[in-house]
Amino acid sequence: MTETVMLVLPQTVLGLLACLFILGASFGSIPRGSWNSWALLGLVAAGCTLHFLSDAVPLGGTTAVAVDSLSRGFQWGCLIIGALFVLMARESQAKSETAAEFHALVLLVICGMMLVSAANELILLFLGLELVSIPTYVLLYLDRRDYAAQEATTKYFLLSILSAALLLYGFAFVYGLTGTTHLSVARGILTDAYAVAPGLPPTGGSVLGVVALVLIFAGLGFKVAAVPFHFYAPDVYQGTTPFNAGLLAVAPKAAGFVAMIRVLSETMVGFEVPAERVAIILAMITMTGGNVLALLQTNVRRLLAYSSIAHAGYMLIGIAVGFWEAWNPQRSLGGETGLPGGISATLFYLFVYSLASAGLFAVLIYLPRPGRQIEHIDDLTGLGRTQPLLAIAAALFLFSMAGIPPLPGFWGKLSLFMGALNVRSAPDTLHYGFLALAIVGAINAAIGAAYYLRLVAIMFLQDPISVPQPSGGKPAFAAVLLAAALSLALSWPKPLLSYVNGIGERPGVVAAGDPDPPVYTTKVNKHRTEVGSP
Amino acid sequence: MSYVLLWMVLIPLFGSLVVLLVGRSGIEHVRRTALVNVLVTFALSIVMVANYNPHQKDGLGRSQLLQMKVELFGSSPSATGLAQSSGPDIRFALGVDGISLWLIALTALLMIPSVLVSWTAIDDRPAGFYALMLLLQAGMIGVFAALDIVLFYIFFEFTLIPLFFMIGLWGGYDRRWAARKFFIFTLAGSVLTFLGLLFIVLAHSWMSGNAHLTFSIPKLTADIPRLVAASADNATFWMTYSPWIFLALFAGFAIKVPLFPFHTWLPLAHVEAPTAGSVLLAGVLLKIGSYGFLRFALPLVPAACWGALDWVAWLAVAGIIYGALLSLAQDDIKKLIAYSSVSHMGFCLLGLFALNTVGISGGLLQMINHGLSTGALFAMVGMLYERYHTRDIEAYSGLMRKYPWLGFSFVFVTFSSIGLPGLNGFTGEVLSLLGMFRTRPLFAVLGLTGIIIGAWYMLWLVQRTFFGRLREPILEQAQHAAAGHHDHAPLSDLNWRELFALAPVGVMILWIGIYPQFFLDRMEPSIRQVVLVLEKSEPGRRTQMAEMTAEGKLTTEYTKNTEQE
Repeated sequence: MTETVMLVLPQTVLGLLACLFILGASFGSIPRGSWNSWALLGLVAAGCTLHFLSDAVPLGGTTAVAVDSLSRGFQWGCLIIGALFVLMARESQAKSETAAEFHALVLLVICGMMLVSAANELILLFLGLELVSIPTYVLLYLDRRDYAAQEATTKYFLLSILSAALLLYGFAFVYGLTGTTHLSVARGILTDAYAVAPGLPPTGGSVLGVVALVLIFAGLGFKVAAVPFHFYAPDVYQGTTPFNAGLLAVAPKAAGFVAMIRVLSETMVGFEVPAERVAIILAMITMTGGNVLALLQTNVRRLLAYSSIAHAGYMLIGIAVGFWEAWNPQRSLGGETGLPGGISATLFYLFVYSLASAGLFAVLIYLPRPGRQIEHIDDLTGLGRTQPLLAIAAALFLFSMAGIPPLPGFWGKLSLFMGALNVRSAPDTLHYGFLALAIVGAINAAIGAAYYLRLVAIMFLQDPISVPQPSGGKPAFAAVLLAAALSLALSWPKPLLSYVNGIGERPGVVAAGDPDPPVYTTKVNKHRTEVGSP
Repeated sequence: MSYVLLWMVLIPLFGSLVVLLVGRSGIEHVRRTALVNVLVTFALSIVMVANYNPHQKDGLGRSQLLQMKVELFGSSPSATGLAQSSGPDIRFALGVDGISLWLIALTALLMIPSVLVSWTAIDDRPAGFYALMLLLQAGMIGVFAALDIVLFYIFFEFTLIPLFFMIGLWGGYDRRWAARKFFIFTLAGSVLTFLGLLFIVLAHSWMSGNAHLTFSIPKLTADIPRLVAASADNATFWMTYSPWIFLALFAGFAIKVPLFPFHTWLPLAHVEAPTAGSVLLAGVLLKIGSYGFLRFALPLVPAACWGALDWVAWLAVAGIIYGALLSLAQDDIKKLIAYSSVSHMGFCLLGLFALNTVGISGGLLQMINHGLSTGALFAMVGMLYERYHTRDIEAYSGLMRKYPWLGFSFVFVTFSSIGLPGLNGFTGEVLSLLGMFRTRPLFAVLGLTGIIIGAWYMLWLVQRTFFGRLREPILEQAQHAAAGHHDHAPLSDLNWRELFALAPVGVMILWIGIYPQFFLDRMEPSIRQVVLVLEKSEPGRRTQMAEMTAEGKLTTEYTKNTEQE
């Protein structure tokens, strides 16, 4: 028991701090401006505990909390991006009367994300997801109380509840299938039941499992805003503040993907083939839908909403590849190839995307005059002249999202596409499915570039209409610069790529030391020869 | 010495920073810094050419075509297989061989006119303009020198961004759309190309059974033919996939060249770009497409190249004739030259897809020729535009009387462009068509008609603008004076700066025309290597090879061949 508590120490720090904030808000003696500093300090404290935790606690085998490279890496990402978001809100919350509640809620969201990544238990995982969702409902309503914000909040609330219901229903099926809510145990049971030799395609499992799979995909599809569960995203982003939009673009998506990895990729052994099918189809329609619809947008936040949908599609490529790699560990990327496998690539992309998103939304927070948001993309006209540094940073984020080398978004796409191309000797139709996935992804990268470029063109190629009077404050500007500096640093991708390369290796699945694994025969596989590299 | 290529990339990169830094102290400093930068890089390119020895041998007596290699941040895979902490094996590796040698030199050379024609034409935010131009130069040299697939792609995309801003900020009326169209067209193709290249990397690892992924271009081009020949399984695998790989490569390179139905971005970008942008776009950037075919498609998927020969040749011929006819119909000088690019690049591809040494040499030489002559033509149109602010052919007549030097240069370059014997265009076109004649005579004959129409529209242009009674677009000038514009050059003949801009191009035009062997000698050994691979997969010979494989002869003969290389 005590051990389990120790394992979630960083999350506990954040959660307790959030409670303290809400309590402290009742006492008027604490100046409003200081909450932000306390929140930042809290994140640093969580980082410290996370750092010392790495060595202090042995890996728990059957605890409800998993402390592994995935959770640790993901939590570091949460803290970094979370700190950027807290920094952005510093100026706007300095005089707000709800500053304490605001920061408490943001900390809870971060805590929820970290909890999801560490969950080894369906209940804990669901708790974490709700800890991301529920504070967001309040956040959406806290800052803006006009008609549009009300609509956005209601829409988000209702759809989020629906997705939670779907998810729970799916979890119930997993429980029905395995008789446990414990993920590692469930994996063990499923591995025994649908045992496959490495290289053999899974047998497909029972109908119960497939239903669970589809329901969980649907439930998490809402969180990551995958088409066709994306309808809330554009309206909500448009109807709320840039800060909330930014948080929505990052937090539920990250939590959704890490939950997908925990529940589906790592647990649902034996259901990889149907899971691949679902993931491939979701990825294709999500990328294409998001990108094509983004082409038509003129509202900045709406455009970014569709762009975030499209990015969810790219990341689903990695999830799909991850399913294939689960039964083909010998032929996966990762390890010696130096490029991350599907799940690691998803995590890499997730971080890179979050960084660019955080930066872009920080620009939108910094720029507007008091009382007026940046709405139409033409509000950015001529930014290259009036705010050159800011515009260059924004262009950096946009180019990174478009996948222009050598920015980190390019390395993310490279890893994802490489993973999809690397799939071979799947049952034939699936093999072509993955090839098509890579091609659709590449074409989408070009479509995406079109609207990112439009924004860049508006900022740099047109003369300014008016001189902006930024009201976002220096901290938001600092957040932009920090995100830009990080993005530039990640243009040299080897450190982070090799870091995520170590994540996503599943010890239970890989049959280590199997000298001559039975190989699922296909045309391609036979072409391996013994020539060796000269 | 071996760092010459690295410096050629780094000097423009640093130069662009320096230009931005001196930007505050006035336009004079900016353009002088840029010029010094460009001249230093050009001097380095001369050093590079002088030091390139096509017959160099290494210690074991094998010929070494790839020279002046530089490699930074290389990581070798550890022998224990515990390379998990290392990232992908992507290296910053540069080198030059006979294929890239002259293209790098051409880039360095064309930067001189590009800087000099912008001297007075660009007075709005000059620091930004020259900085972008130098960035573009770094990207272009990097593309040709890159020895790593990812590095190649990075430089490839890196050329897009500076040119996007050059066109979009300093271009003509429709510049924003032109810049975006240019960017999106190129990107759309190049992502597919990149996918194809990544697939080649993976296929190499599958066929060799080595989990380590190599992105090195020389290693891939050397290994893949060997691996394909090594086993029947590999051969069938490669035969199945190589048409698809070719299609993927084709998507990006054909748009970049541009080949006939994909050329629509080109005239718009050319016309809207500032003069220096047009010079570099026509002179160098289009060559990246044809270079890509020569570097990747021909040696890596030779069988697919034979299969696609007819298709590509039809498209090239269509481009030659269609481009020429469109040029004939233009009334804007810049547009005319832009469409003539479509036509001329068709010859390059016709040469390359002759798939024999003569044709490929011709195609490569024609790339250089087209860069020189079209670059010079765009530069001169820019000079004319600076004086009169119109590019309407109708507006000019008899300029020869007032501008003898400009007239002389224009006629000289026109002759080069239409392939007058003794100037460079002739050699390239003849070699390309000769090569094609040996492979598919029909296309060579059809291509020949393009030369005739080419002579027609170019000479007609010269006749209309430079000969006849002197007629200047006075109206336009008066309007400008009235509007208080004084940014146009004085209405006098070319000054020293403009002559100096054209002189190096003129020298090269004469040199290639009179003594092409100097250039061919240095490119041919590298081309022969490509042709060796191509010949082995020629359809007729393939059946022969299949029989030989059955008898077990092939591998021994193959190893013999490679040893001889």
